[in-house]
Amino acid sequence: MSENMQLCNVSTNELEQCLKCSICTVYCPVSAVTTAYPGPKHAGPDGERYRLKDPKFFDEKALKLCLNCKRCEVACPHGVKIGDIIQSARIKYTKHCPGLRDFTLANTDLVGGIATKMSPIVNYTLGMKPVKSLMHATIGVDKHREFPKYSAATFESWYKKNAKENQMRFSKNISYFHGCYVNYNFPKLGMDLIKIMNAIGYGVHLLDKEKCCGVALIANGMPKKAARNGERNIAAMQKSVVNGRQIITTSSTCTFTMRDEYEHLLHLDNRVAKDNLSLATRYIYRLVESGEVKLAFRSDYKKTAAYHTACHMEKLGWAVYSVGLLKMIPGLKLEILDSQCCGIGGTYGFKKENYPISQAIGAPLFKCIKELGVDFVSTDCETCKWQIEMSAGVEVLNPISILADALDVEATIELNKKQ
Amino acid sequence: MKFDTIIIGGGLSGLTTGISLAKAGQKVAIVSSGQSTLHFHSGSFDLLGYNNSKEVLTPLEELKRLDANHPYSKISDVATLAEEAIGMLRESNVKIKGETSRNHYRLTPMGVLKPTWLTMDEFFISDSAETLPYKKFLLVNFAGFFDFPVEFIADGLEKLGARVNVKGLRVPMLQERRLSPSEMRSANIAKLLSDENVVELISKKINTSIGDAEVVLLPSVVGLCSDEMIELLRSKVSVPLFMVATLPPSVSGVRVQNALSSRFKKLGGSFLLGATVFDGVISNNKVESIKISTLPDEVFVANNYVLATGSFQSHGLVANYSRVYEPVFELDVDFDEQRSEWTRHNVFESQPYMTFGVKTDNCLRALKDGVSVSNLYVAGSVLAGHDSVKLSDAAGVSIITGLAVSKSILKQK
Repeated sequence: MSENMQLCNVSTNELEQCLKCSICTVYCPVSAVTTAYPGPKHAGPDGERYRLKDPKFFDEKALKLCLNCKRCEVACPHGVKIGDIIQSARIKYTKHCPGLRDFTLANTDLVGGIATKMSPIVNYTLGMKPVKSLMHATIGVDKHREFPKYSAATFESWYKKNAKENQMRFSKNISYFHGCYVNYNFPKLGMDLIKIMNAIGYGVHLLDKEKCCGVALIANGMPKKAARNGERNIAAMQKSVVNGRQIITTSSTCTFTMRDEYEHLLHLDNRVAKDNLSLATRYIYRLVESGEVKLAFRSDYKKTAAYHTACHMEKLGWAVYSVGLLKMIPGLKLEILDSQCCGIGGTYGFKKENYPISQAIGAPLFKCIKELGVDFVSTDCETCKWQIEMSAGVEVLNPISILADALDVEATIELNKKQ
Repeated sequence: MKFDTIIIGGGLSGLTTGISLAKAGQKVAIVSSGQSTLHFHSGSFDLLGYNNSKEVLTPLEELKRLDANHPYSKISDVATLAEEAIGMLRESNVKIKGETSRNHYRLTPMGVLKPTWLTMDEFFISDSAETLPYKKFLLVNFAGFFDFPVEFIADGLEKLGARVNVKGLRVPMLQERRLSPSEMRSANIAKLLSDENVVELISKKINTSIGDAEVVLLPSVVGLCSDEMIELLRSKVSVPLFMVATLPPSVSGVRVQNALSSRFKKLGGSFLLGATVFDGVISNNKVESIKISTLPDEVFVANNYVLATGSFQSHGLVANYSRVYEPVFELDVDFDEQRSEWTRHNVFESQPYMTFGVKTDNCLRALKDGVSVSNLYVAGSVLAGHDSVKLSDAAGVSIITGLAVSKSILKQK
């Protein structure tokens, strides 16, 4: 009886498993560089005990400093969902309404949709010093930040014009959740993915009206809108799975949000994502490992790269797939960087109040990258890419783009035909 | 995913085994559910500090007098492995002092000298239990840091004839940390002390307080990521400076953990952190595969498996109201069926539950239903047969059994 009582008495996010050992705090990138953040143990399980008694103990100023990297959860020896406790508290207790800046940063799809329509003007304007200073002073977007360039046409419109028809000839098919970054800023990554998937015999299709995954909405205090997006995406994924198509992505953060945060923070039933959504590197790695597909590489491809494990890749535990896939490329000399946060935290580092923290967190990583002197850095997260390119001055490529470049397309098509 | 060996547990024992196997060219994965008890490290590695409640000065000579169930009793060449361990630690950039033939003494935060095998270079040690290498001490602490029992340490040193001056330092940058008083902890201080300017400032403050002290003792709150700041501090202070362990998290332990896992990864090993193992399939006395929580649809297969999951604290052993069990494979566990016999009323007595653990054959292979599992080895604190609190042998058992298991695996072909 007494034992059953104990077994039944399990709190949300394993709160009561916390021993207060402070191991999480050792690995917190934020508390390493600022005393304004008390660290994950204090902001998470410690603070939660007080917040449960009285919401007045909700310290929004401190909790906002958490960049949701989840490195505390990875370090915790007792499975306490420290990051989820902190983010859930922000969702539950905040009374603050997002201002213009947070609204703009959070609505990546809305803003992206407008910006791509007038991309030359937007790109030029956002690059101007007076504009940066003005945004710094008025809405609080840090003036040191370089904005990712907006593309002249969206990935979706390119796909409809140039790729869609061609995808119908494949017997094996998958859906691609491209995300806002590929759609509005960097369609080439989506094109690279289609190049690889087509070469190994897979047709690539878009989901029926994908929405932004919502990661920036959650981070900027708009969980309701994030949940609406989530519901739409879940429905789109379900439809795709019914049609026999699993879903792949090229962004670790979108993947992590739809697989984990939908359930843990937005309380959505996302089993379809858990079972069918995968990062493309993982999907391809597993196809190769099982012998289902084969890859052939260009003999003239010779590059050096360093792999950076994005925080959400660390949490997913999937770096092993991206690294495994890159290691298959004979001409690529790959170094693995120590897994540490680059400091950007999605939209976190764009905010003027967080900019110094963001850069201080990333400093050891930037130093390490500069010293290595590789051709490029590889990572699965687009916001890490912006941060590293701006701060370390080295080009950053998604593993899929590297693979697409190194692939001998004709030979790969031949190899996979024979099977 | 296929590996030559999969090690379950990423603490001292798992990492030792992993480094040794990866060095021999094996494809190795370590799966670890969060960070290890190295974060509670004392700054020293014990081989054997006590036996039958008596201090041990020469641990190798004492081995033959150990209980037959002790893990060391299943290993024929402890001396050789101990030397190999010293080499492995040094190669991994863990700077240590001490020798296997004779124990030295570490100073505990309770102000007591205890026998040990190897100690991190920056820590205070003594060659004997009765005398100290210095007479006049300056014991420094930081204002607001409560995880360092200064009075106990001063008292302990004075009992051994030393004169101790205590100095509390007020450092502006550290004072900010006191905004959240409960977060004035070793690792947080160490993060602030990874800045050269702060370290220089502290060294100046220490130098002005030295007086006639021959030696300075400081809580171990410097050197989270590397030895660099320790070396800087020691070079700036005008007399020898040593560290004394604090309450957890252990700053030196974090450094050991990072040094060893970094070495393992450099040797090509895969370190899968934040993942719990489930669905360990054993058939025909052989582990066929395991699954891990982060990649639940992936089947992990290896020729050999090593269970280095630690004891109760690390959930390598789990106790409920009726039994003690091993949660990954449900292996045979040595424990008393009588719940009342698990503990002794007097907390300072040897507690029987400390000796509980997984049963193995003489080659350290796990037993399940009384039969050896042919490709599953067991290393470290999850092993039955020793009370590491009473014997002071925890680190030694972790390292030595880890190396022994690695030898057995490499001998197979």
